[in-house]
Amino acid sequence: MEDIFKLLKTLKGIEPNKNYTAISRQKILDEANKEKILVSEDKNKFSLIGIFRSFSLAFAVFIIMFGLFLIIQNITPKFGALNPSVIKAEADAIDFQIQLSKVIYNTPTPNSSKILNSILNKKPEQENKSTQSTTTSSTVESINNIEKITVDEALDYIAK
Amino acid sequence: MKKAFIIVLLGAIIILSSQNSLAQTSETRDVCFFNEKIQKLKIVLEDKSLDELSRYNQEFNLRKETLESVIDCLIYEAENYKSILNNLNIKKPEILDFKQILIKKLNEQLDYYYFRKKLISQLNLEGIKYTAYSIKEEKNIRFLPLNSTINNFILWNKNDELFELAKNRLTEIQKTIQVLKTENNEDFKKLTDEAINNLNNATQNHNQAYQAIISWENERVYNLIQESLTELLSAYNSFFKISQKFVSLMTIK
Repeated sequence: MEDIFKLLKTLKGIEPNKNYTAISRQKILDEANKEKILVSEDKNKFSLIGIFRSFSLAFAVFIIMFGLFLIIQNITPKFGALNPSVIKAEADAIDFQIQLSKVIYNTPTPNSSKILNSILNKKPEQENKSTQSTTTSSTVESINNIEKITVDEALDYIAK
Repeated sequence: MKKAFIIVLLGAIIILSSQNSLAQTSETRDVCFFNEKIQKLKIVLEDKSLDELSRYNQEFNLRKETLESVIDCLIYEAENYKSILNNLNIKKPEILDFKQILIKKLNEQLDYYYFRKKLISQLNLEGIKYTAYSIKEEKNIRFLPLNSTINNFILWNKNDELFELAKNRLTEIQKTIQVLKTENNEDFKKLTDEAINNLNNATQNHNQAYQAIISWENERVYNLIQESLTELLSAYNSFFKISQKFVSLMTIK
């Protein structure tokens, strides 16, 4: 009986190796940390997906609204269509063409090709100014004032 | 990679701007001014003090130089036409096809002039005189109708842009009027009908002008173009009245 009690007392003194304790403790703590990291990583992943989802939703809404805007713009008439000054500008351009065709018809080549070139090379904004008709007439005038010898006249003279 | 791209871009800008300035300088120099040379030739021919040999040489050189100038002028004109045609804003394929026909004929014209110019160095005085005579004949018989057609074609294409503009203008005006629900609808309808009628007549003349151009019937083209533009202007007169009415309504409201 007394031997059994002595044996039990010695059993009470059994302890793990200190190194083993330290290693096991560290392992357990590491596992606990890993779990924490995993949990927090999941949280991050979840928020990235969330951001992406909300962004694409916003983008889709934007595209739809823009599309609607374009459709509405096409359907509704443009009240600028009845702007008197715009209509007058277009009418002036037609009037200019009438004058130009008269000049070209009455001007022999190569002068007519030069007139066409100088007029057609101008930018549209320049064409719509009221100076167009004066440009055409001044070009014709300058040709007439010098009394240029025409190609035919020059060829006649050379052939004489 | 980036550096190469920047260098290519800079190079393109330099080349394009130099081409533009070259075009401008060629326009300012008058290639078709013969007064001075003809005047000198007149003086030589009337100068009794010159001996036969000097007179012959001077006359020969002046006639030769003037002929070269005239051919240069004709080449310049043909190249000018080619450039204008290629810069036209043409969308319809059948019109593009006709443009190509005109370019081809201009190239034939250029071939003729370059050929004649090349031969000049081999000619004597009589040869120079005969060349001048035959160039004039060829120009007036073969090339003058082409140049008239090209003038008409260029003018017509410019007019075509105005017709497109007018059609769009009419469509926009009709849309705007439909939106308005006013007691003045009858007046708007009357003016719109007037505009449509004028535009239709104008378009008819415009299309007939094109048919005359591609048939080389240049005599008819001028009148058709003038009529089409005059009718188009009448359509715009109606547009203007509609716009004034619209503005007055908006002001009252």
